[in-house]
Amino acid sequence: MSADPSGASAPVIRVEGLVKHFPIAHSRAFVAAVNGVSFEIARGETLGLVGESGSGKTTVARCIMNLESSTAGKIVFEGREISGVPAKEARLLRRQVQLVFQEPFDSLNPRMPVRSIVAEPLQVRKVEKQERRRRVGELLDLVHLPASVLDLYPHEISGGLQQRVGIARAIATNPSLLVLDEPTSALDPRARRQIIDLLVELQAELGMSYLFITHDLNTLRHISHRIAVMYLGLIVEEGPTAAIFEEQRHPYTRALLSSVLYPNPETRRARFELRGEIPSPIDLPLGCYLASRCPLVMDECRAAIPPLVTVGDGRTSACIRHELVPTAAEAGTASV
Amino acid sequence: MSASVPEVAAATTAALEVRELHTYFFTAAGVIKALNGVSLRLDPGRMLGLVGESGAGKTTLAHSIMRVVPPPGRVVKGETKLYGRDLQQLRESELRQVRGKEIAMIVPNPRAELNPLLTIGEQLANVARAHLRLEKRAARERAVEILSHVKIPDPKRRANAYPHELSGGMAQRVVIAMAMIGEPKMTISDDATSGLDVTVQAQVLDLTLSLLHERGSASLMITRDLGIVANYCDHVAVLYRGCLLEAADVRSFFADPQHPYSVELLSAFSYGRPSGAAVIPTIPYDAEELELREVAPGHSVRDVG
Repeated sequence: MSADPSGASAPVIRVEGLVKHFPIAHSRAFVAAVNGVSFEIARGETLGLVGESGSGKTTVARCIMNLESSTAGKIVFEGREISGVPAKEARLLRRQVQLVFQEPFDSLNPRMPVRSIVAEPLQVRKVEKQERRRRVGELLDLVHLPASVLDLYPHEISGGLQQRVGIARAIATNPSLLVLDEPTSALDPRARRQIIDLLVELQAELGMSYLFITHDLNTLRHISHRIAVMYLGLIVEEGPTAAIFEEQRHPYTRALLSSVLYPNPETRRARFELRGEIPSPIDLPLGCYLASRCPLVMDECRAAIPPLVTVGDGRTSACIRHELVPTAAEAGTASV
Repeated sequence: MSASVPEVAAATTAALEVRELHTYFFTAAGVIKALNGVSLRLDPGRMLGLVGESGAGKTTLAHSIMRVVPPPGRVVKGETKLYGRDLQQLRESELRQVRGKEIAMIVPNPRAELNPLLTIGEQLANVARAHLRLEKRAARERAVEILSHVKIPDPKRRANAYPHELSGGMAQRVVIAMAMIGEPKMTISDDATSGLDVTVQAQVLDLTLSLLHERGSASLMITRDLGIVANYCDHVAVLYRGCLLEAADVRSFFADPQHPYSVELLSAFSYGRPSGAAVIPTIPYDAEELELREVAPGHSVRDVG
C-alpha cells in the first residue's frame, strides 16, 4: 500500500481483493485457498509473502502467473488488468512476469544442456540465432555462471548452479516482475546465501520487482523491503521488513517470529505460542480465522473477520487487539 | 561428547561412541568413501548436532550406526558402540532387538514412513507389542498415551485416523511417537523437521528436548540448519565429505568457529556479514590425512591442508 495511485510511481502489479476457491468434486463445498488478498509492488521493490503451508501464498502466485483463474478480484499488471484476459494476450504478458521455482532440478528439462534451457524463452520469442547466442552469454555473466557449464546437463551441476540457470532463464526476456516461489528452500545454506546475494545484485542492476514467497523468515529479512504475512488465505499483517521484525502487530506474526531459530546459542526466545491446529480451509470459522488458536482472543473476535487497518507508518494489521500483541525484544538478534 | 578424539578417557559409558568409522560404496564407477574415519562421542542426556551439506555423509553415518546402509554401501571398518556394545559386532537377530527399542531413527517425510492402510493407533500399538511385549489392549492404551505425549490434540479419536487424514506436522509427530514408544535410550533424527512449518518445527523440537531430559536418553540431531543446533544442541560436529572438520560444544563453536569451512557455514546464516565466498580454501578430498587437534577443552579442529 505504499505507492501512490496517481500514476507517477504506478506499481508494477496491483492485486485487489483476490479470491480463489477450489471446488471439491461431488460436493458443494470448496477449499477457500485465497479469501480476498490485496497488495501492490512498486518498481524495484521486493514484497515478501510469508505464511505456513496452507496459507494460500503459492495460490496467489499461480493466479498472478495466470496458471489459475481467480474466482474474484483484480490483478492489474503495468496498468492493465490481466485476470481473465484471453490466452493469447496472457502469453504476451507472461514475458513480463516470470517464475522461479522451488526445486531447481525439477524445473529444468533434463534432456537439454544449459545453453538450450537459457535460450528457450528467446527462441519462443523468435529471437535470431546470432542474437540469441549473444544474449545467452550475457545472461550467464549476469548470474555468474562460467561458460563451461553451457554444454552440461542439469544433473551434472550442483543445486546452487541449477538455480542460477533457472534464474538466467527467468530473466531472459527482461521481465519487470519475478515471482520467486521458495527459490532457496531446497538448497544447502551456502548455496542459499549465494542465490540470495545474486538476487539482490540482479535487482539493483536490472530494476526488477520481486514477489518472494517463503516460510523462511531469516532469508526474507535480508531480501524483502516489505513483508505481507498470510494466514488461511488472508493477509493479516503488512509493513516494512525492519518494522515488522522490530515489533509485530498481529498475534500470528508474533507467533511466527518467536519460532525463528537464530544461529546464536545466546539468544533466548520469548515464545508466543498458538494453541491447537490450523482450521480447515473447507470449513472456515465466522470471525477471525486465528480466534480458535489465539491467546488474545475475546468474544468480538469471533463476530466478524477483522479488516486490515492502518497501525503505523505504512503498516496494516487485521487484529482488533493489535495494541496488545506483546513485543519481546529478541535478545541477541541484532548481531544476526 | 567431551571431544571427538578417541583417546579421551571415558568417565561414564557413552550413549554413543563412534570410532574410526569407514563406510564405502562399491559402485561400478569405483569406490566412494562416504565416511572416512569418523569418530565421535555422545553422553547420555545430551544432544549432538551433526551438520554438513548434501553429500557430506550425514545420513550414511546414521545408516551405519543403525547398520542399515543400503548396498552397494558397506561399513568396512570401525566401531559404533551403543552404551558400550558395538552394534557392528551383533548378529542380525540381536540387532532386531536393539533397533526401535534401544536406538530409534526419526526420518523426514513422515507420510512415506507410515503405513497408509493402518490407523496410526494400530501402527503405534504394533510397535508397542513388538518392543514392550504388551497385550493387545495395553498396547492400544500405550499408543493413545504416547500420542498425547507428543501433543496430538484429542489423542483417543486421532488414534483412529489414517495417515492421509493428518497434517504434515501431525504426521511428523506420529513418527516421533513411533520412535519414542519403545522408550529408546538413543534417537537419531535425520533432518526430521526441515519440511515442517516454523511454528510446528519449534513445537516438535521442544518436545524432543523435553523427552530427552525426562528420560536421560541421548540424541543425534542431523541437520543443515545451524539455528536448530544453536537452540537445541549441546555439542556440534561438522561433517564434510565423510570427514569431521570440527567438533565442539555449542557455545564455543558459535562464539569461536575455527575451521574456515565452519566459518563459511555460519556466515551463510548471518546476513549482516559478507558471505566470504572467496576466503574458503579448497579442502582436499583426503582431509582425513590432516590432523584433528584439540584447540580448547572439548573443541577439536582439523588442520587446513
